[in-house]
Amino acid sequence: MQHNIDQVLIDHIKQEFMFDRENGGLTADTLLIQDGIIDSLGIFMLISFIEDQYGIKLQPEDVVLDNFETVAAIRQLVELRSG
Amino acid sequence: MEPIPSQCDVVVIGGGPAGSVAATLLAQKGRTVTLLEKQQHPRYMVGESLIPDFWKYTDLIGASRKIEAEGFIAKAGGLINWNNQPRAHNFKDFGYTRPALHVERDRFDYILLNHARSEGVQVFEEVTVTGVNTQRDADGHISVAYRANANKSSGSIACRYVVDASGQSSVVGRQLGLREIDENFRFMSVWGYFENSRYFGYDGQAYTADRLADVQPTTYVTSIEDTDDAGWCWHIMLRASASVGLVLPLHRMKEAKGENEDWEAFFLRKIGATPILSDLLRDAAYIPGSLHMTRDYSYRLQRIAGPGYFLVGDAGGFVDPIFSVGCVMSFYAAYAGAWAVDRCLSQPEAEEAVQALFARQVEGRLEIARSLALPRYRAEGQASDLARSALQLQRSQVQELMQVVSTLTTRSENFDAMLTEAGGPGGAAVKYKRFERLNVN
Repeated sequence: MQHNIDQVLIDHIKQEFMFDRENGGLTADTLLIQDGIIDSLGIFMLISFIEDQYGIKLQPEDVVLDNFETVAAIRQLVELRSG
Repeated sequence: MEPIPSQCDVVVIGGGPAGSVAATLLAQKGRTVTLLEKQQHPRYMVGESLIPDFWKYTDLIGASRKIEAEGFIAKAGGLINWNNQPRAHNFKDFGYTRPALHVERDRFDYILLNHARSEGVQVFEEVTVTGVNTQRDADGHISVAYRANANKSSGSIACRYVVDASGQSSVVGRQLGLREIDENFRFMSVWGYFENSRYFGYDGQAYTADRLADVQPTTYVTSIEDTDDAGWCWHIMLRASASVGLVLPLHRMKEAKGENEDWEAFFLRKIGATPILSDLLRDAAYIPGSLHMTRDYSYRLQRIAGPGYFLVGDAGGFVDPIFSVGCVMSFYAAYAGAWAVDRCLSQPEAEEAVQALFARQVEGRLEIARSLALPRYRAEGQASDLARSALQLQRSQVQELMQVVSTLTTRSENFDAMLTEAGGPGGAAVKYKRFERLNVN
């Protein structure tokens, strides 16, 4: 499950946010925000994606760095809100 | 001309940058959008300096080529002369690859509004919104009442959501009594236009206007002495003129102006008494009748989203424009607002959560702007948390840019503390150029 979510997120981020650059090195621990892969607009697109993909609802206060810093962090958020 | 529809998904109030971007994004998502603009574009607007972040929004809506084709002036960076300490920064040092611009806003805004039209937004100009009824009817509709200026006819549109992008008119905010002037930062601005002004390049040298084709200008900002960090002037080179403005607290503006002095004479006297800036304007001619003013800012709205409505752009808050972030802040709120409206239309049951999410993110950005631009401003309580959280969501190089900007004036002293709390870059970044003094030959 864990690996599965990571892979779905990695594939999605590569396709939507890194289509115009080298993306082979993206892992579950790559810094998404600090390195500018996901910007403040990308966050909204990502929220839509994970809500629709996993049938979950994020809380307004979920949208903070701790939950979006890496693919692993996003996966934990998905798991938390799926629970 | 087609008649104004009686029903649509979303009514956008205002055809400035925020309204055009929000409307275009929603139309591109397949929503039916009616945009009502009270003036006829192209129309005059101030706020000519744009930081390069704006490109990502015009890329998203597909309007960047149209903006490039217009041939606006690319600027080399900012030159800030605060308390006689001139320092310059540029955006390339922070990973930006595309230029900041100086734009004639009548043209820039017109391009975006026409783009909205070409993307399927139904745009109606010279139509004034007279009121918004946010009480939902049995079908879940709210309504927007309007008056067409041309034939004085009136009508109303039933819609699911209103995006208020009406600028300082703040139609919904005023109607609902949400607008609050920040008494500690009650500023006023007076500005006008000059032909044949000199300008500063990024090398700190002054150039005559005929050099614009080969030497890029900077946006020049200078503090005004003895105003306790509150007063400043801008100088922005446009293609055919220079935009020059004066910002002062309202009470100081009134004190400084002679009793029988008209605003134009006062403006020219005050600009003429500002060192360096007056040198740039030595051989320049003030364009008669080009004086404008605005008073009573900064302001905020008690809330920027509620049942059926979202407030974006200046309709959702206005901060001192010293760092040229106005349009980009508007675009950000417009993007977030369009996203939120689209989510609410798809999932009406999630409206409250989506609105809260929108409000937290946009308020956070507004708080960052306040902390950077308002003298001795300190975000407190929840506002401070939102600002810190919004800062953390910026890429490292943007945090670094903000840090540099915060050191260029004496207005942002609380910003550094906030950035440190947010885990941002420590120590003073020195990606700026210092000049001993500025000379205008």
